Amino acid sequence: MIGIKAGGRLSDEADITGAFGGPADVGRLFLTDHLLAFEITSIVLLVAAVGGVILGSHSRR
Amino acid sequence: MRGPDITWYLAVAGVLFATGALGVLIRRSPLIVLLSLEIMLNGGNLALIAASRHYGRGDGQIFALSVMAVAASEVVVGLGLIVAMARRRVALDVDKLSTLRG
Repeated sequence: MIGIKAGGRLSDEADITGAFGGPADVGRLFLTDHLLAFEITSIVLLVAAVGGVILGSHSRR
Repeated sequence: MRGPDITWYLAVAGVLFATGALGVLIRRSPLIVLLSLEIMLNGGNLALIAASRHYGRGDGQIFALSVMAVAASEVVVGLGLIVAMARRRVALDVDKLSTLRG
């Protein structure tokens, strides 16, 4: 996997059965192992929202 | 009942990706190009999810979620660009939009 972890190991690797994928498991992974991905994704979404507002606003001409 | 092998999922993902790539290269309207780009991204997501299930780890699903968020941001920016172009009466034709000048 892309080995970007949040500054060292914060939790174990997720050992999963076939029943992985519920919100609790995804949320736990996002907030422990892949915290950096979570933060960067949120920043990208914020920038896209601001950009969308700017691109969609009427020009004051 | 375990379901299909990972090979089938990867084949479908490859077909999706190829369809999207064909659409990006062939179609003229930038709106359709954006749509085909989304199809490509969905093909990649399917491959990620299939691999996550095959190896029994959750990292592929995390990656697929991040890819979805980035795809959504890209669509926002792309559609904003198209709206701005339409507002200024620029022709929505990727063949004509070949210079960097407005």
